[in-house]
Amino acid sequence: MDLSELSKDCIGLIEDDDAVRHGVCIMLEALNIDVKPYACAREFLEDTAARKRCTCLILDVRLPDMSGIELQKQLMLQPPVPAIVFISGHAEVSIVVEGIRRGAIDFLQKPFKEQQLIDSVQKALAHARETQSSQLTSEATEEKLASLTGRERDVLSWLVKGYRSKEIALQLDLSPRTIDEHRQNLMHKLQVTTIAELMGLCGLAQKVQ
Amino acid sequence: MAALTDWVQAGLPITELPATLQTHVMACVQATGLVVVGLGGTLCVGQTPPQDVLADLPTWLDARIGPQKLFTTCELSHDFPLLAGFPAAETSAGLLAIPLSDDAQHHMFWFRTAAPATEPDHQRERSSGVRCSSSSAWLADCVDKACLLAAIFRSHLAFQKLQQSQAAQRLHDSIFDFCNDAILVTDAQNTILSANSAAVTLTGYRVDELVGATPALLKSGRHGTPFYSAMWRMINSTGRWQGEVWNRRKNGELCAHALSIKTLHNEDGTVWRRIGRLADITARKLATTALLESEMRWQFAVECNGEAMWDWNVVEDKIFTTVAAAAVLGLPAHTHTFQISDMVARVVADDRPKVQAAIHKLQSGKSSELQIEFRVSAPGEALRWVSTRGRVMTRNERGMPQRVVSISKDMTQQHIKESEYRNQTELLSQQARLVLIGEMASIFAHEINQPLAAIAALAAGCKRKAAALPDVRLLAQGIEEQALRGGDIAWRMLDFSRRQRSGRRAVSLPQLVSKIPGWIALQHSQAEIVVEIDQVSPDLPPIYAAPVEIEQVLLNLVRNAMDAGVSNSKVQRVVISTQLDNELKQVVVDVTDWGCGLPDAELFTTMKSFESSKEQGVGLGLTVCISIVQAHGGRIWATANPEGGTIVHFSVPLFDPHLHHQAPHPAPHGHEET
Repeated sequence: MDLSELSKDCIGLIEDDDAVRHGVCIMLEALNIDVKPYACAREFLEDTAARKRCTCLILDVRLPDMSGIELQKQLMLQPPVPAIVFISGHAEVSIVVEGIRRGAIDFLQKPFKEQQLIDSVQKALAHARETQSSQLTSEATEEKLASLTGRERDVLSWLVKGYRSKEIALQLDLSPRTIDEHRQNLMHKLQVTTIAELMGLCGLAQKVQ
Repeated sequence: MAALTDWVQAGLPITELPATLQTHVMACVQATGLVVVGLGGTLCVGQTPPQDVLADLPTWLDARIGPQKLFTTCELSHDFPLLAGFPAAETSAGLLAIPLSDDAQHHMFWFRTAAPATEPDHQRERSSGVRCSSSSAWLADCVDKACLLAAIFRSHLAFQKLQQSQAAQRLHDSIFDFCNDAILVTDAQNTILSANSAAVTLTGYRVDELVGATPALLKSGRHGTPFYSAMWRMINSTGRWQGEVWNRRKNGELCAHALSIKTLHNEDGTVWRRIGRLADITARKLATTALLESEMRWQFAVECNGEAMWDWNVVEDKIFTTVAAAAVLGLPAHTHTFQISDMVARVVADDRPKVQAAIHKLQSGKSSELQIEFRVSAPGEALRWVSTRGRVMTRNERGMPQRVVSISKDMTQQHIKESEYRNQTELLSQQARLVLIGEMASIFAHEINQPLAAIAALAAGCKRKAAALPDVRLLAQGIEEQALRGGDIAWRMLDFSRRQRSGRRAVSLPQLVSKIPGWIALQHSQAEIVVEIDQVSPDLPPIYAAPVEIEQVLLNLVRNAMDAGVSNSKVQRVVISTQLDNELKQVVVDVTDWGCGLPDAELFTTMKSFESSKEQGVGLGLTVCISIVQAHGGRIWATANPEGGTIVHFSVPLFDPHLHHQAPHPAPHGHEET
């Protein structure tokens, strides 16, 4: 998926009470987002297309077929995990804490104000985007690194350690000129201009790895 | 005269004298004026002086004899001592006293009242006291006659004595023989000298067989040498012995005798005779032994049974007790008998009035049973609950109780169990109530918050769409605010109800599950269904749950399973089992029954709301279960048992220290946390 190509954000809403579901949809009309409503967890899980598209979920803790917490656990087994906003009419502190510690963005008590919902959703979407972009960045970096040749990779590993061309030449038993050539090529492929950028890129790659 | 002499030598009494001789004796008496009287008052012949005469014979004699008393004084042989009365100078009467018996108790008094007609001269001569010799022939004749008479009377007295002693001997012999107890008389060498007829009966030996033998004849062989040694030691030292001996009759039969031995000593202290008395006690002894055996058997049976039984003789207020009863009633060890007051003294003061009342009722005949429970406080021991049951066994002719047999039981353990049981049941219902209330509050809050959320949402939408209509916008604002306010109320109520309950913590599911059969048994003691726990490994990692609530879920599900199982199953079991799901980090608990099966297994999955569950007629219990399980972050669903019946599953999350914080320690009602 291309970062530059912005389509509408897709949000899943899983709530068994019809009136509440309807009401939430109305609240979200103010935002320019695509809301996909479901009455139970199973319905959502079966909709694999939406499963991929939805970056955010508004989830009731109490659903007919499983609890929202369990659904969260199931979703965590298959990343990427959408950003979750829990809504509940009666949830206990420990449930809330559990949900948050597993990575939910927010927990809203029903009935809530429109603004509360909107704030939470936007926060969730932003978080989703960030995760996605870092995911993407790491994916892109992966691709670029994959395009390096074996020799280029060797040189890269010494460069990242801070060695100069002459020193690397000695290590690899090649002429300094050859080393310079490799360096130029790999920096071009990785789309960096300075050694500092190079190091940053590799650091990121390592972190993501 | 010669015949008389012979007769005297033969020692016959005067009344057996031939008639002629009697006359002769009587003539002599009259002629000589003899009155024979014994100082002891026994008369041999002649007139019987009255008692007062005998008391003062000289005075009587004086009165009788009067002035014509004549005394003869003469020298006689030493056999005839003279009683000098009046001096020779005075001539009034003559008195001769002749002892008739060895002990001088009998005397013959001879006195002359008048001179014989034939011999006046002598008399006068005598009375003048000058010449004795002329009267000596007559006197001699008198003296002869007197001596003869004396001899007669002496022998008569002796004969009487003999008769008396013979009579005494006869009596003694009769008594000897009349005695029921066998008597053997032995000499110092232990040779039997005499035996009575009872001895013959007792031993089976004849008298001639017994006399001349020693008592060793009767030895049974049942007693050893030490026994006889001890017996003789006692006989030789104290002269007596008393005890029980086994002897053998002539026919070899063994019998038990009560034996008493007494020693008679000579004047010099040596042994003269020994008297042994034997009474047959064989029957008695056998009866006693039999009774003793019977009693021992009974006692043994009672002791084996472990019952604390006591036997109360109401009349004498004596109670015989087993060791167990004494222990239960707090009496000192080794108590064999006690009084009813001893028992009451050990009863705790508060319980004493009712104990005394019950006892009094029994004693006064108003009741034939004793049934009391009381606490016993014995020194150095903990308080003990005792239950006593007794019954009147025999009554006297007035209907008053004589003998009561009772059993006392230590009920302390039972009491503890009962109060424990009461506490547990109370706790269980309390917990159930609290959980129910909590869940009701949850359910209610959830249900009410739905429409409130919808109202708030719709009002918000309204607000937006009525941007151009300030009045409408205001109203919509109001609606939103009220909806939110309603929600606020619901949440506060929810918080309040939750504060009363214990929170979630790391809990051992196996420990929790292990309590369930006990709780169920407590409440359904007559159930024919057995609750089993299967495949619940004690190594199961802890779950994150509120224990009381999970207990309630299990209890509800098990009860439902039991209800389902009642009607038709072949297998009367409900089984609880668990499975670890490491992937989803949860434990799934299964409650299986082999009952009639759920009509609609979809029941759990289609539960949308409280109303719908009521329509399905499921009942509050199930609703609560669903609510609890979901609130824990788990899921509850049902599947059909392939062997017939239902399996209800629910999941509970595993405790994760990174995700879960432990609730502080719980509720003041002392629920035991696992």
